Amino acid sequence: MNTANTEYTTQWSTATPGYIIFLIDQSRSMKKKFSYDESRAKFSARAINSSIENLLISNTPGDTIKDRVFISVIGYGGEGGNSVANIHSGFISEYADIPTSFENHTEWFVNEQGKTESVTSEIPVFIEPVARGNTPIADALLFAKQLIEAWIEKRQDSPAPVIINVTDGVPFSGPNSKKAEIERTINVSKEIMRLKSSDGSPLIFNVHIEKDSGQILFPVNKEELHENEMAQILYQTSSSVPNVYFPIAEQFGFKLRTHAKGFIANASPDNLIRFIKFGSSR
Amino acid sequence: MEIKVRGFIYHKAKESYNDCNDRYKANFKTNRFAISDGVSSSFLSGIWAELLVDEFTTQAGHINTNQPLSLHKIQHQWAEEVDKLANKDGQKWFVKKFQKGRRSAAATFAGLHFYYEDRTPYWDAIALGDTFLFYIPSTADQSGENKKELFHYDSLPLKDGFIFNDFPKYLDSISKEPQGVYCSSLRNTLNPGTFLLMTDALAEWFISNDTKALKQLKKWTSQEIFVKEITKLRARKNINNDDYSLVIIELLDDGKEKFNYIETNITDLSQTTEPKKQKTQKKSHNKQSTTSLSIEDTIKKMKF
Repeated sequence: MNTANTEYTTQWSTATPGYIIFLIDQSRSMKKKFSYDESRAKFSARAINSSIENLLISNTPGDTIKDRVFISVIGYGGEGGNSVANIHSGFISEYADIPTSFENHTEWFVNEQGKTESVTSEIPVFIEPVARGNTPIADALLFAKQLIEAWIEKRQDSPAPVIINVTDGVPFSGPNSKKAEIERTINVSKEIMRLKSSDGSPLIFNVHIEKDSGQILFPVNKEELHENEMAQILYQTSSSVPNVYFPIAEQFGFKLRTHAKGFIANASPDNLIRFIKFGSSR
Repeated sequence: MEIKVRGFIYHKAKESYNDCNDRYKANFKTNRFAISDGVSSSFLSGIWAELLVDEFTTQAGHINTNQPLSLHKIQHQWAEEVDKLANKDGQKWFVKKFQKGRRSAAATFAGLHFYYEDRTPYWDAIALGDTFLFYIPSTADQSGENKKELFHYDSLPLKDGFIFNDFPKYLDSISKEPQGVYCSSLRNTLNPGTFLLMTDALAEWFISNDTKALKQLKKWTSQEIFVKEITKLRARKNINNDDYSLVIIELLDDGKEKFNYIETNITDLSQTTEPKKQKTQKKSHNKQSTTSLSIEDTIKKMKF
């Protein structure tokens, strides 16, 4: 519509498909336990699998899938060292053919009568948990940037692409380059956020997972970062959440303030799931 | 009272009539009209929208504001359609999962009823969500030239302050209660004028362009013209890319105490439906890919 503020309002459709890029940290530290007996890698993979399934559901009005979104799943560190792997890329209908297995997942909750109940669901496996190499976030972002540039060039009228990055640590490509790697990550992020489509610049949402540490959710200024190193990095590498995302955030239990940065540092398992679902909803 | 009814429907860009989840219906025996927009991110919402408009327009008598639709009955019919689909031979895993997981359909709704009481004609209406009903009396200044007194019209829901977003109120195919409260307008004297029933994208455009939009609408006298005009509006980005449904009901006073439908031109979606596109056989991914896709290969898959 020709209104004053039209940024981030283009709807996903087969004529104007959305583009979501999941970046997933597959570094060796993802082996660490995160929730009960599950590793960070296993939990994150399932959260992404579940989100892709949700995307599939919301684009399936009957027994056929509408290609209203293109999805890339990019792992970094998973093939060892500073590897970046494009695990899957394709329109959502392609994902329906991918799962060869389903993971039974049981969730426990306390019902209104105060009794503990469980619900078991089958989640299709689109990506497997992997934990192997370093944390080359900058290289993964560079890879994503090239995909986004190609996408925007040809699909100028489509909704602004969204990157959702799941990581458990600071950018790291080798022992002698930590500072340079952080700077490179910040620079590439800014380059991506400066790209333009008719719907707005690409959005980068980051979620950093860490068990039992103070969480920092969608801060609006640097004072809220409490000198936390990872939060300082995420503050510079994350987009401000557009207002049109606020009702979506609320659906997932996040109350956002104007100029909120799209990241969580030290996310709990529950917030990791909700954050990924929030970022991939439109 | 003489009545002319026109109804047109069109689908989203790059989709087909098969994909359209809007429905409308006019019943000239019960003098009821209904329109519904099936939420495209829900499951089998076109069927659900159809059941809603069928149910409303076949009812006789006044609108029961407490229960304008017998949801329980049509929810059962909808569930039967789900079972039929899920139990098809060779059905895909996700459809079976939707059935097992009781995934539902959602749809917005608006309904209108004309009736005589003590020789006076009246209209009642009810709406839920962002599907709109507008009424423009023939006495209203529709020229748009008098800036102080632009044409006046009533709407349901109220247009002033209405916010269009992705979360309209709706009727759910499983939940016992509507997801929101109906708004209604009852026992209004029926005077010559025009009623418009339309789904959200058209309504948003109509509200933003009032007199200009009304002038355009009056020229939409056939499905072909409707499709052509919507395509133009969409190309100019004056209207959101969505499904579009419109029912125009014009009333003229002929001095008689009965409803006389002198002209009806309503596009039947089932007749308009285009043949399903033959899908090319996709390569099956039997195994999770172990080879990383290159940037070039990924770009090729973006289907430019």
